[in-house]
Amino acid sequence: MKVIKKNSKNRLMRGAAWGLAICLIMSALGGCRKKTGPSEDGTGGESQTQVRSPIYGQNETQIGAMGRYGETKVQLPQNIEEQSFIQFIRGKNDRMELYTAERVPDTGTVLETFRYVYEDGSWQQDQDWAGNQAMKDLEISLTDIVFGMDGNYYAGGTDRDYSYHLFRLEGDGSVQELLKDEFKPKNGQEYGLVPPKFEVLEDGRTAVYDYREVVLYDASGKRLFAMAKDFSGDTRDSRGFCTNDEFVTVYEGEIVRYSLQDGTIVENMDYSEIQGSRETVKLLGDGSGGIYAVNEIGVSHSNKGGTLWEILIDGTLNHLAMRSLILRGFLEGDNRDFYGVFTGSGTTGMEMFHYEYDPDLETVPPLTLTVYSLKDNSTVRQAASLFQSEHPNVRVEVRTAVENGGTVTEEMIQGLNTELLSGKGADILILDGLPARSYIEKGILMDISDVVEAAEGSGEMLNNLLDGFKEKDEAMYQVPARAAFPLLIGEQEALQAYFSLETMANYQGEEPLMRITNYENLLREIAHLRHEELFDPESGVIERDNLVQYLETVKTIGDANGSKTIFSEEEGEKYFVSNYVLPNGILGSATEYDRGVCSSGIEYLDGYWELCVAAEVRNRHPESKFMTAGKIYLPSVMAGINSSAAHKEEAKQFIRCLLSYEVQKEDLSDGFPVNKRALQSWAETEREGFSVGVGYGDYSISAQWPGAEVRQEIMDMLKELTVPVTVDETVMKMIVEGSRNYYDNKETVQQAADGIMRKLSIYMTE
Amino acid sequence: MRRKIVPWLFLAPSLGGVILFTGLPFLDVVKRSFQDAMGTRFVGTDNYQAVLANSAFRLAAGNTVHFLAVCIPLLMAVSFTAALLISSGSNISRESKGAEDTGDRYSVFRTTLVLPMTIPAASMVLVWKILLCPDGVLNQFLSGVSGQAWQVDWAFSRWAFPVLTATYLWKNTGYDMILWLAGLQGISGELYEAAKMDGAGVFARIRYITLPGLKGTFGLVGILSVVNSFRVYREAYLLAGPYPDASIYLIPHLFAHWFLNLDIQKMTAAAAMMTVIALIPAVIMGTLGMKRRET
Repeated sequence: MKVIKKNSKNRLMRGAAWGLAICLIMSALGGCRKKTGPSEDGTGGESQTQVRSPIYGQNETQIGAMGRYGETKVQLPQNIEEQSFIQFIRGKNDRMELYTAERVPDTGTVLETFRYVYEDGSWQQDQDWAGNQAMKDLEISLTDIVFGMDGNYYAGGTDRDYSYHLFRLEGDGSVQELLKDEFKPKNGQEYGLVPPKFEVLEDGRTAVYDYREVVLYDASGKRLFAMAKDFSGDTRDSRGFCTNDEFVTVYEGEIVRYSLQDGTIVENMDYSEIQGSRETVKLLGDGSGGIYAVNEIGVSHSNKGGTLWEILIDGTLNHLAMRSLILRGFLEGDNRDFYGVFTGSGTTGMEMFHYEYDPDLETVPPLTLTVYSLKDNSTVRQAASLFQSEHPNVRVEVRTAVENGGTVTEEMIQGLNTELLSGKGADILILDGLPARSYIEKGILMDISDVVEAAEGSGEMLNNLLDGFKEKDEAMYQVPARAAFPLLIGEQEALQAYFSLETMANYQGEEPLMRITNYENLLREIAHLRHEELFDPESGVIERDNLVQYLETVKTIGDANGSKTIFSEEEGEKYFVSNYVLPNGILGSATEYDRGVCSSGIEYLDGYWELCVAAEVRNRHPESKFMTAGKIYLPSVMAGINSSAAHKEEAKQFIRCLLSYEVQKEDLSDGFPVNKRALQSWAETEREGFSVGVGYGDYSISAQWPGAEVRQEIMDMLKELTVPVTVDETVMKMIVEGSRNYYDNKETVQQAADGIMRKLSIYMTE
Repeated sequence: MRRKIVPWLFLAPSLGGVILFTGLPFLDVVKRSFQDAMGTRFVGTDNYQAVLANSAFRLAAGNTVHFLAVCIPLLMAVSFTAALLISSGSNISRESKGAEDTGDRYSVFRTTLVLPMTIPAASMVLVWKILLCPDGVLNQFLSGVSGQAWQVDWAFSRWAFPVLTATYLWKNTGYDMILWLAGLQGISGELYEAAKMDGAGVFARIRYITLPGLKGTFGLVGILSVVNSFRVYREAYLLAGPYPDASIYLIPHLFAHWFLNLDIQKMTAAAAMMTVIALIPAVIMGTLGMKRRET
C-alpha cells in the first residue's frame, strides 16, 4: 500500500514537472513574438497615426491628436546681413519694430542705427526715423531702445567714456536725458552702471535693471525702491518684464511677482515647473497678467494666479533648441502667434522665425527618431534641430547618458547593451566612448557606405577624414562628423624629433622637448602622437618591446622637463602645472614654448579659436614652424545606425544632415568640419575685433583672430590627414596605473612592463 | 486528493517566481548559447568551443574554483570555531551566573563578528585601501617593526589573493557563525551532559554529538557560503579595479567585460557550462540523500 501511494505521488510530480516544462518551452519560444499584419479590427484611416512609445521599437496605433505650433522663416531685409541686432519691440500702433546697427569692426562702436517696421507681412526700413541722427549728434553708441507704456520712445547707450545715458526721444527728433546722475561711477568705481535693460511705465516711472536688482524711479527721477532678482552677468537681461502694476522676474529659483506700488513680493512660483535653462530664459507678459517663459525647451505659459505651466511650443522641434543660435528677441503676434529673432554667437547674421498654430499638424510628430550619445554634443543637437525644422513630422529625441560633464560609467554602456541585445536601442548611435569595433563585429551597426559614398561623391566632403573608417570589404559602419588634430610648433630641429619614439628620447636641445606636466598626461599625449608606432591597428594593443620603449621615452622626456606623477600645490604654483588629466593629454603648450620653457609646443586644434594663441606665438618666433604629428587626427561625433532601427531611411537622412554644410558650417567648439565647403567657410570667416589673452605669473600674451593665410595653412593641413587615432581607454588605464611605480622610481621598467603585460594579456584574450 | 494539492499550493508562489525569473531567462541563455551574439544565426557548439579555448575564461574559472576551494572550507571552519567558542563560553557563563542572566558578555563577540555585514562594501574597501596601499598603514607598521622600508602594493601584487580571502572571511564569518549558532541551539544540552557523565572529553563531544547534530546546518552553511562567495566580485572590483592581479581575476570580471563588449554569445555559453558544472555535485548529493532516505 505504501509503495503504491509513493508511486502515484511520483507520477503526479513527474506530470506536473512535464506540464511546467512544456509551458516554459512554449512561452520561451513563442510567447514574446510580436504579432504582425493588419490589426484585427481593420481600422487605419486618416484619423489614426503610428505613434512611437517612449520604449524604443514599440509602435502603437492610437488616435493622433492634431494641432501644434509650426515654424516658418520670416524674410528679413537683405541689407540687414552685416548689421547687428539692437532690439526687437512693439512700437507705436502696436507694430513690430526691429532695430539694428552698423558698427566699427574693431571697437564695436555703433556708426549707424536702423529701424525696420513690419507691415503687410514684410519688413521695411523706416527712412524717417530720427533716432539715428539724434544718437549720432550726441555721439552715443546705442545699446537699447524701448517703447514705453506712456507712448514715448526711449533710447539708452554709451558715450566715448563708456558712460551710460538714457534719453526720451521726442516726436520732433529732439531728445531729453533722464536719470542723469544714476549712471555715473559711484563709490570710487571706474565705470558707472550700464543697465542690461530698462522699462518705462504709463505714469513715467522707470525701471532700471542692474545685475542683481531692478530699481524703480518716479517720473521726476527720484529713486523709489529696489526689487531683488537672480544675478545675471549678461549685457542684456531678458529675465523680467513690467506691467503697469507688477514686475515679474526670476529670484532664488522661483518666478516672483513684485508689486510696483511698494516693491513687495505678491506671488511666487517654482521655476522647476518650466524646465530648461534658468539663465537664458526670456519672460514676457501675455497682456492679461499671464507669463510666457521662452528658452530651449520652448514657450511655456501660465495664467495669472496659476501654478501650472503649459508648453505651447515645443522648442526641441524648431530653432529654439538650436545650439548655434541665440534668441535675441521674442514677441507675441496678434493671433496668439509668436516671432523670434535669433543670431549666431555674435550679434550679426540675424534670422527671424514665425510660430503659428497649425491645426493640421499632429500634436506629437508621428515619427520619433532617437539618437543616443554618452555625452551631450552640440553638433548632434544642431543637426537634430535642423532636421526637425526640415521634417515637421519627425521628432528627434537626443538621449545622453550623462549630463553636464558627468562621468561615464560601465553601467551606462551595459544599460545600452541590454537595449541593443533585445533588438531595441536608439536608431542612431554616437559611438564616442562606446565599443564601436565590437558593435561592428556583432552586427549592431548597419552599413552606411551608401550614405557616405553619396556625400563623398558629391565632392563636398573631406574624403581623407572619412576613408579611414572603411572596412576591408568597403563597408562603412561609422562616420565622424568632426575632427581635431595635434598641431606642433617649434623650430625644425625640435619638430623633427617627433618622427619616432627614438628621436624623441634622443632629443638633445637646450630646452626639454616638451612641457612639464604630470606623467599621465605625458603618457596619453605621446600615445596619441606616436599611435601608429605603438599600437596594433587591428587590436589596439601594444607589444612588450614597444611598451618598454614607450615607457622609457616618456621617462626620458619627463626627467628632462621635471614631470612627476603628482605635483604638490607649491610645485603647481612654481611650475604652472596641475594634476588635471585630459583624455588625450594635450594640455596646450604653445605659450610654454613662447616662454622658452620647452623646445616645442603642442596644441589640440579643434577649431580656429584654438589657433589664435599658437599663431601669435609663431609670429613672435619667426624661426618656428607649424607641423602635424604625421598624418594623425582625432575623430569625434562618430555616428552609426542601429541595424535594428525602426526608421532606417530617416536615420540615414539624419546622418546626411549631420554631414551637411548647414550643420557643419557652425563652429560649436567640438572639432573641425568634415565637410569641405563648411571648412572653406570657416577658413573665410573673419572676426574683426576678436582678441584673446592668456597670462600666468609674469607671462602674458594677447592674440587676434588668425589671418587668412594661417587659416588656409591649417585647412591645407587638415586635408592631408588620413590616420584616425582612437586610443583604447582600457589599455591606456592599464599603462597609466601599471607605470606609476616606475615613474616614482619604485620599480624598474621591466617590472612595470611585466605588470602591464600581465593585465594586457588577459584583456587581449578575453 | 486535497492533501496532495495543498503542498503544491503553498509551493506555487515561490515556484512560479523561480520559473518566471530564473527558469525562463535561463532557457533563453541556453538558446542564445547556440546562436551568434545578436541571436540571429544558429552556430552549433562554436560558442562553447570558443569559450573553452579562451585563456581568460580558463584563468577566471580556475581562480574561481581556487577561491571556492580555499575560502569555503576556511570560512566554514573559522565561523564554526567562533560559533563553538561563543556557544560554549555563553553556556559556561549562564551556568555560573544562573539561567536568568541572559545578557551575557559573549553577545559582544557575536555583535562584533556580525558588524562587518552591516558596513557598505564601498566604505569597507576604502578602509582596506588605506590599510593596504604602498604608503598604507600595514606597510608603515611593518616598516616600523622590521626597521626596513615596506612598499608592498598588497592589492595589486601576488598578495592580492590572500587580501581578497581575508576580506571575504572578515565580511562573512559573522553571518555563517549565526547559522552555526542556530544549529547548535537545536542540539539538546542533555546529550552533552550525559556524554560528560560518561567521561567524554571536549573533542569527543564535538565529534560524536555536535558534528552529527549539525549535518543539516552544514549543507545550509555550505550553500550560503558559496552563494556569498559570488558576491566577492564587488569587493575585488572596488579593491583592484576591472583588471586586478591575475590571481583574483574571477568569472564575474570576465562576464562584466564580455557584456561591456557585447560578447553575449560567449557569456551565455560560459554561463550554461558553469551551471551544468555546478549542478553535477548538487545532483550527486541529492541522489545520495534520496538513496539514504529510502534505505
